[in-house]
Amino acid sequence: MSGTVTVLAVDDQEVFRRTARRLLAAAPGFEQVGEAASGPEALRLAAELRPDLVLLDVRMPGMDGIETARRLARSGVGATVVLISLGELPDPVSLRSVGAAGCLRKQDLSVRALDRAWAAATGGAATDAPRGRSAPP
Amino acid sequence: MASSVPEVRRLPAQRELRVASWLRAAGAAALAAAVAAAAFLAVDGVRREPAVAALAAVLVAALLLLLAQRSAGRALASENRRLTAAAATATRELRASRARIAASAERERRRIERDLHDGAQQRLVALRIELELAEELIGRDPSLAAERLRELEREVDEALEELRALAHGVYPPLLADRGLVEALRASAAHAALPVELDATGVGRYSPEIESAVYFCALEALQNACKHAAGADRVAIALDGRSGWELRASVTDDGARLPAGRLAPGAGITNMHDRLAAVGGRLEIGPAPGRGCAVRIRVPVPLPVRRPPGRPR
Ligand SMILES: Nc1ncnc2c1ncn2[C@@H]1O[C@H](COP(=O)(O)OP(=O)(O)O)[C@@H](O)[C@H]1O
Ligand SMILES: [Mg+2]
Repeated sequence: MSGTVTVLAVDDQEVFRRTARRLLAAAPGFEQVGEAASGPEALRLAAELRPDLVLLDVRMPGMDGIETARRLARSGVGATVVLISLGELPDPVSLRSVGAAGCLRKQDLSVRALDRAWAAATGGAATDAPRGRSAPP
Repeated sequence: MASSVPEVRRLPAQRELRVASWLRAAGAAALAAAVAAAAFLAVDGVRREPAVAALAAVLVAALLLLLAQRSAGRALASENRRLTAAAATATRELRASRARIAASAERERRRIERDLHDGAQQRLVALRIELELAEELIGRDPSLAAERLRELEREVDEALEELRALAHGVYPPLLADRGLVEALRASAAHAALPVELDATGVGRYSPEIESAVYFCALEALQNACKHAAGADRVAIALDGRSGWELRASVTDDGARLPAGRLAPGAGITNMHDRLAAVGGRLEIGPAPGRGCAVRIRVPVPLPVRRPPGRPR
């Protein structure tokens, strides 16, 4: 299973978490290992599950996605963070400054878009054999 | 809550004005005496004592008139100060109320944006993604794809219902289409307590007036359902018979309100502000016997349309 990208999906909206489940179930090479409804929950689960990829909603009440991304980067869990947002996307500079590898508009999410985002974020080619990182214990 | 119009009390300057008018009257009398004495002198020829008396009378008259003048001046100045202070207070209260209205409109817009973002918008985006997934599924597993599509249809219905409810909260379509009575009747039907609605002589008014009265009555109804201890029912009465003022009352039969004023929260403050914006007033107090009565009055221009079946 070393080729599979493990994913943690984070969104405060139940509707969207369900969609993420279906999307990830339909995406070859990706496997959802957990979901979180808030920033703090995401931090906890990321430390516990060590996912390769965190799909992180930007707009959440309390700790928002930007802040969560910053803390994820600082916590050293080593996950690749891709921000997703319904509205405008954060600009690349602030993306990098919080340690996020990329961003996607929610309405553009699809199996292919996920593939491309992963490839771009990890500097690899778009792939149906995504290069997963072996999660440290 | 303090009413926003300064109270008309007995003028504090009244006493001084009265003194001024006495002095003026006395001065006029003295002057008349002096004129009479002078006239008498003119007929009788010059004699010393009456001339002195006339001169004294003129002097007294002049003095009294001068005093009257000063007293009246002081009275006016103090009256001016009082009015200026009252106007400043009224202006300050008006400004504060206007700022609260603006802030609450702003809050309302933010709430609507959030509701749209968290509700319909999320659903539609989710639908967009899932439709694409279903599309791919059709080739692989047509029956599962069909089931998915049916699910997505329900999702569309939910999104529609959410949008409808949101639009309703922004401006109830019934209020625009059918007016206050019908809109309140419809809302009352969903209230947690049974509501008896009684309306006489209520026509159509400007949207500002109708929505102010509607939202205030609704807030009062919600308060009755939420706060009135042991209430069994609520009575809403609308009365537009006077033609120049619309009155509304919302009365519950809950426990008697404790003496003293209610501590107004956001709901009651909002009611005050919305009504103030259309020149209306709000009174909240114990209802006769038991419970709480909310009384609303709004001045209205002549009704646009009279309710059918009512003479003149
Ligand atoms: N019908 C009522 N019966 C008893 N108490 C009431 C009634 N309406 C309002 N109150 C009191 O007035 C308070 C302020 O009401 P409001 O400004 O609408 O704020 P809220 O409803 O959010 O508490 C309420 O908390 C309640 O204690
Ligand atoms: Mg209330």
